[in-house]
Amino acid sequence: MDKLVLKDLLVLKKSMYWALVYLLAILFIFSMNPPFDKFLYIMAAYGAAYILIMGALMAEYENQTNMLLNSLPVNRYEIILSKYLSALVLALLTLCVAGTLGIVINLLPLPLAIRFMNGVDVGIVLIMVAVTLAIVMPMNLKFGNQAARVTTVMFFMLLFFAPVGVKGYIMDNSQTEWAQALINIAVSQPVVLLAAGAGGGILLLGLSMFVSLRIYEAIDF
Amino acid sequence: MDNVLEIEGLNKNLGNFRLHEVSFALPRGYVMGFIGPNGAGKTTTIKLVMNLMHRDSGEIQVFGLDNRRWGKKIKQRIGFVYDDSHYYQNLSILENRRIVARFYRGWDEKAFQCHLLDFGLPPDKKLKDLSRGMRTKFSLAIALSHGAELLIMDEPTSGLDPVFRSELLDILRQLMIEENKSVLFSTHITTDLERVADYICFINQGQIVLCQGKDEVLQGHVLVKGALNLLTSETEKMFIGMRKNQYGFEALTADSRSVRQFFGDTVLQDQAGLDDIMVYYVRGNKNG
Repeated sequence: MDKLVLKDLLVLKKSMYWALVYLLAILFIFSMNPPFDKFLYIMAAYGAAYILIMGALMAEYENQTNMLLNSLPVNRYEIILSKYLSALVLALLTLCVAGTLGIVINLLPLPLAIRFMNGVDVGIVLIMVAVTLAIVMPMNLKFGNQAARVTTVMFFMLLFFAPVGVKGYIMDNSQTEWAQALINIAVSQPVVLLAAGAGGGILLLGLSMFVSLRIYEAIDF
Repeated sequence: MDNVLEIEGLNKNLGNFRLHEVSFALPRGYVMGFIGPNGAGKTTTIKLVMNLMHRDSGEIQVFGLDNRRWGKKIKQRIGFVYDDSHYYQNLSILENRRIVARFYRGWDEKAFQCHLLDFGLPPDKKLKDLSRGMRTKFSLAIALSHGAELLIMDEPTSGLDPVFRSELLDILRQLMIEENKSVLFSTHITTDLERVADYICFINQGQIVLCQGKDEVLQGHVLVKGALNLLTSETEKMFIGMRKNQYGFEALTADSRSVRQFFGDTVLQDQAGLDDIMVYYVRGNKNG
């Protein structure tokens, strides 16, 4: 399995440069644009992770490597599980790079001040990546990369602006009972909210993995 | 005899094409030419052996092990070369090697570097910048660098020019002499096999037509040429396939003794090549 994950990292050499450029651009651009500055790390890391995950899937699709991968001494379930694992590794990698860039930017004498990354940023990015993966993987296997890309770009845009949008919506309805309850939890027990999100994300991922495995196991290449 | 590959009663229905009761065996240390016209079922059979497709019924044993149950273990001992490169085109030869080598316990880096030199492969060049022939050589270099006991080659020479084909076959022949590997070599270019194959397995329309030693196949078939007036509905039954024109007929038979007894010196008998054998089996008694 680790060999398959490593394979994804090697294949992504070119996309990694793009992801880094994207991370820097987002950090610089959105740091000066409220209310986006509050969601800086989420937008940067999620977008970069998305670029890398789609890059890995695209590399497999362009080279039609299913023939190669399935001729190597690996099981089909390992190929699928490794795709999920690679995506998780890539998400963690982008989070690390985004966090490090945040520190570096603050240390450098730049006319720019951004906050440091925190646990909530990490949690939200991981949940967003999990939800994206849960949709992208089975779609990619069932309908092919091109078809899946169109849907997932739309889905990506939706999730990309979701944190800002959700916050705005809650604030607009801050007098309602449900919004009050949510704000209370978010302020007093953010971990509970994150844990609920993580639980949902894991559940969705598990379901997605099951569906992807079923699809992939049945394919005749 | 010890068989590295045994296929028994293999069936696969693909809707518009059906592989029907395919059975054959490849003994250890020999080269089997898997021949047939395009769309005959060669690639489907190979994909079933490699577990790239799911069989409907039948048995496939590689090294005496069921290919589905022991797929991972078996593939450690198989080298594969397909008709097209399925490696990463944007990566160099060495980068592709770095990806693939990790999967094989028996990876032999020294052998790989040797093959790169022998085949004239530039290690730092991206695969997309190589010719088709060079990409095939790269696939062969990979296939030969992890101690594979069985090489499965699906149309490795298709799309290659005659010089490159000849070079590839020389490499293969040399390897057979030196390393005693078993090879399943699928092709529709039968002349390739006359130089390297020990066995011939001929498939047409999803069914095995014949599977024998190459010499047996070649000696067992004869081309018969004669005048049209010698043909009757009875005599035509002696032939597997036939071509007629205004000057006479040319036909393939697997029963040269009966032909000689019946026609005597009124017909000419000539040695049939694998190409003739394949062509006449496929065309049957269609005129023209």
